[in-house]
Amino acid sequence: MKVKKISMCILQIVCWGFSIVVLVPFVLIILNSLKPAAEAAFFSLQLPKELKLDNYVNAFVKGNMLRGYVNSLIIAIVSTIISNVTAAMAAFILVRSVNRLNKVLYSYFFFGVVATTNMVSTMLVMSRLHMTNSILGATLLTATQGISFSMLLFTGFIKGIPRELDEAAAMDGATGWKMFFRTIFPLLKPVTMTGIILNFMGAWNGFESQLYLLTDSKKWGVMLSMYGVYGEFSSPWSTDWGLICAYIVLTMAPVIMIYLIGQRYIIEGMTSGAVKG
Amino acid sequence: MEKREPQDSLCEKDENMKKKKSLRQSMYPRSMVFPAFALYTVLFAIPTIIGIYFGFTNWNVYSSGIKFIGLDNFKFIFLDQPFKYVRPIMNTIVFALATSAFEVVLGLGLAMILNGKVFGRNVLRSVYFIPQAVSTIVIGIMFTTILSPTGLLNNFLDVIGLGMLQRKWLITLQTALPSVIGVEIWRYFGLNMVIFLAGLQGIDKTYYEAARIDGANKWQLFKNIIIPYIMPAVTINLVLNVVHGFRAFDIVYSLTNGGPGNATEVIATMVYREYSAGNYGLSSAMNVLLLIMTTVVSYIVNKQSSKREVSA
Repeated sequence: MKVKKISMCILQIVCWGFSIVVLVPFVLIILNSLKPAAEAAFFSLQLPKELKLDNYVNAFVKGNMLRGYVNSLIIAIVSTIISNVTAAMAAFILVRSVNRLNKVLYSYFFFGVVATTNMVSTMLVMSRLHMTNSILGATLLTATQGISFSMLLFTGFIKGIPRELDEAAAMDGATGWKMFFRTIFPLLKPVTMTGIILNFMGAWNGFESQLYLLTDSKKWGVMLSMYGVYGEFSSPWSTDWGLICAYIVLTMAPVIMIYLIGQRYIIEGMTSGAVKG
Repeated sequence: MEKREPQDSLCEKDENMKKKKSLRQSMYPRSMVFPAFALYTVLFAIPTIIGIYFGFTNWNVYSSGIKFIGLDNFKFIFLDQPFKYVRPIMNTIVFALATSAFEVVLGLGLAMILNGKVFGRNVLRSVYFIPQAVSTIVIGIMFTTILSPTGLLNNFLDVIGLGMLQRKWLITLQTALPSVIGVEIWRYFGLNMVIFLAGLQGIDKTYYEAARIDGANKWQLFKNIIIPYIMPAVTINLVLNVVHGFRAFDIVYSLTNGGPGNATEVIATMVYREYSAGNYGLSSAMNVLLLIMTTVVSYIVNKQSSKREVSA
């Protein structure tokens, strides 16, 4: 019993020690965001000598933070809605109506989880569709990149919903789209939440496709804007780390907040969706 | 006459089937698959297929047209310039295998601890997942400063008296790749842990009790109950980790940009480099390699683990 107690104690210490390893980089960034450039350059964990929010003000004034927020919000929200709604509908049909064509379709969608995007040809297709350098293009591309994983989540969850519910709804005369949006879609709420959170985080943090697609800095979301600020205010001689760190904090804050609010849905959704699917 | 009867009933059955089929079609119309199908086909599948074709062409910014050249790009990669291209391929494999293995072990270990009675386990669980919520570019910038010669890690080693372990982490040949691997593990283990936790919570508590009554020890419990039940979680983690490892771009790009020399160069950064240099055909050929690698490995992992699931 004593051995068990001691080993439990050691496990606790290991766990908490490990959480420090995870948190320290964030603490470092937050502390440095409150320091003037000269002080921030040392990158130490010392508290700032005096509390000043200049860097945060500058992020909005010099770094166009607000524009980045607006663009990112549009891209993230719209693409999240598109990929979740379309994936849920498709997953529902592919689970319920099993035949050869639908099995092939399922593998076809599943391939997207594995395959790598070829940006050369993606850019070619986007330019043929006149969607380069447009927020609409970035939104649709982001939505597409989220479809496969959302399908994976929804498929596992829908398998657990009894078919009798569909039949009951059909008796009431609601079939197809009507039945789905009235009866089934509300039942998918836990896994939809998971999909929304994961897709939103992915879209908000998206960098690579926007890097290729958006050349006009007025259309940049927060990540590209941040990288722009990083390039503009850093050089081998003098880097304004205070400003850069403030910018980083401002880009991270919304997703971390959304994650902390919605995290229980991530585990719930994984339990019912991905792991079973 | 008697012979007709079975045929009649067959006909009836046929009609019944047809009715059922039409009912099913009205209940589950295929048109609902269409929006996802259209988006996915136009913006993902078609570019992927065109991209594969480009891998077999000589297309670049200087050429006037696109010419099919068969396997020449691959010959160039493996035979003409092995030093330049094979090293990144090996790096990619090392990167993917090392990160996958550590992420699975770390994720499973922590998930098992957090599944028990640990003080503040909900807080710990949230903390471990935070790096997942943050963009890779941000993480890259953060760790560039932490791992710099005068950065936090070296200062910390100095303070605790391990000054001899100080390194120029991202600049030295021997430590660059392991450092990038370390950062990637730091970033990604949380997802593994969450998926494992989901798997562990799906195990019925009565199984543990039954095993305990049968006198099973901890190892037997782990081997005979936990492992078989979380096999789906292991599969999905391995597939996600390996595929993610093969595709790794942002993390390398923002930490070392492939350097020093090409010590941390991976396939995805080479794809970008060739693309920037205007060698679109060659860039696509590297991408085809990546596609083959991810498909083959995830197929094998899927097959292997589902075999074990059945036998267990």
